[in-house]
Amino acid sequence: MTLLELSHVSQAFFTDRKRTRAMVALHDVSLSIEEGEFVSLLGPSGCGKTVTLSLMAGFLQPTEGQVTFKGHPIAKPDPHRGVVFQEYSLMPWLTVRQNLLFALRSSAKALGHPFEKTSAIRRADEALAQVGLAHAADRRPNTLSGGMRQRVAIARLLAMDSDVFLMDEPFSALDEQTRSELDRSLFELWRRDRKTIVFVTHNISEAVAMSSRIVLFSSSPGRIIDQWRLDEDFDRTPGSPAARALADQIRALLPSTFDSNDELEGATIT
Amino acid sequence: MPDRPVHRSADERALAQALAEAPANASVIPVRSLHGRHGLKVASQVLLGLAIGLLIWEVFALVLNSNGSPLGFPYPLETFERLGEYLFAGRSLYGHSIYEHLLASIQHLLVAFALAMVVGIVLGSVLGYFGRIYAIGMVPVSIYQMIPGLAWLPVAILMFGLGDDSAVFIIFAVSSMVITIGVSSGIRMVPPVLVQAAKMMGASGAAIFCRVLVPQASASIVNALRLGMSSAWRVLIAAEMIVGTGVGLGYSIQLTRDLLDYMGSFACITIICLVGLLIDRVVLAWAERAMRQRLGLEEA
Repeated sequence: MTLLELSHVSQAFFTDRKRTRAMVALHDVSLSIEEGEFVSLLGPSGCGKTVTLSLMAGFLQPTEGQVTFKGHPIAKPDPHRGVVFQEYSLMPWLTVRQNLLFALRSSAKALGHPFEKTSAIRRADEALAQVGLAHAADRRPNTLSGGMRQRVAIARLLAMDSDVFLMDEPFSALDEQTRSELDRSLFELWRRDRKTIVFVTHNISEAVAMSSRIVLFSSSPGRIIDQWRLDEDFDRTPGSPAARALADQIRALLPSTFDSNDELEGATIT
Repeated sequence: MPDRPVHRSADERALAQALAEAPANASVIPVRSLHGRHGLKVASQVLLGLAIGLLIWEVFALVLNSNGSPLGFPYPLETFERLGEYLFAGRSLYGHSIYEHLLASIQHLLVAFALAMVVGIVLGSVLGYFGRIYAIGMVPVSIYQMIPGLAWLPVAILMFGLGDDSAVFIIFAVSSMVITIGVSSGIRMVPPVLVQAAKMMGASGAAIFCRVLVPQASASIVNALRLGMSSAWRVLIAAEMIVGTGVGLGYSIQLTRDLLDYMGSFACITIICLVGLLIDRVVLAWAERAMRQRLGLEEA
């Protein structure tokens, strides 16, 4: 079943205060996300991949074209489409468990479901256990590492049982080792539950290691230049011949300034 | 040439000793006596600062009096003596005890501040939350805020005549604008990602306001109240001096000055300064710290 669909979507933003110029962030993008897919939106900075995610979440309305969720146009954000933000987004005055309860209470109210605290606590604790943070339930976000905070953000979506997880470079602020650890556990989570995931990244090896489909964007204006489906038995292990060949193929499509570099931005070589 | 011994601070020596005494594998070790020493250091800094301030005052008085000023510039010691008489010997300050003056001032302050707090928090929240109103609403707020306290005098007199109500109005006018600006900027400084996250979880506008914006901004709100209180305290004295409240510390300064009792004026100034410090540094600073800690904005 098609969960999310962008049809002929273009998005423009004013670039100056006087509103005399606009930048085209996305130009005529059509893309559909099927249930159970793990889709990576890959591209250099300024290619509109975060804009695409914001449209799917409902934070933005397209300048042109239509974005639908299960066939209905998206009017505003809602808990069906959970988001893990690039920045830390836990409420700092709440403990980890209270953060999850906040999410459960808000989403129950928004969806017209009854909210029952005992079962909500059980659900929150289950979600924390799923991301390996059962022991941190009573801690405040400011006592957690960056990786733990993003795992709580994932647990928040697990607890709300969102239909699709929209993840905006969630691990890009983390060190390399933590990032690949989180990549692995996210991929495991997906393999087990087949949650639909849309994952924005500018890191080629991250995309190759996890996705069931990679969508490559080009920048200025943002367009989709190519897509690859990765089979069940595709060898995702970093450094495997198949993974390396795919990464090379992707790299070949990008401007030469990026070609020696897996990170499409910045100077880190991974 | 022999090496010169490296100078080590008291902190470094205490740490080295603690390390030497601790078991080999300990990750957190107790350190003796540093805490008490820290308190001592702060206290001695405060005392030294006070002493320098008093010394400047003393020198000032000595120089001025050596020029044969007919009135006599009060010295610190005699001022404190006089203050002691007001405070402990029941000496009256023109018909009222100093406590009655203090109480009257605090009453003016609290009434005005309570009103300013309500108006400032409500107005500041509305301006901070609704982006479209902010651009418009900040115009009058910043204009009113530019009016110095005493410039409200004609307005106050026209509205309330001479007396307490005018003083309260002037304090309110100044303090409410300070609080409004602080609260609205505190709400606007809440990281957008928290609001986006709440929207994604389905929170309504009211829930976002009450359960995200206000808690996240509450440290700034307390800080705005602190600024509002200190500006209120400042304008309180001036307002009482001018609108003729009949009782109050500002009024007593004016009265003692009119009667050439400068030592009385100085005693009043001293107690104003002490009470102001007490309110700001002790009560409000504590509230702000407690709030930041409770909110998890600061490492506990």
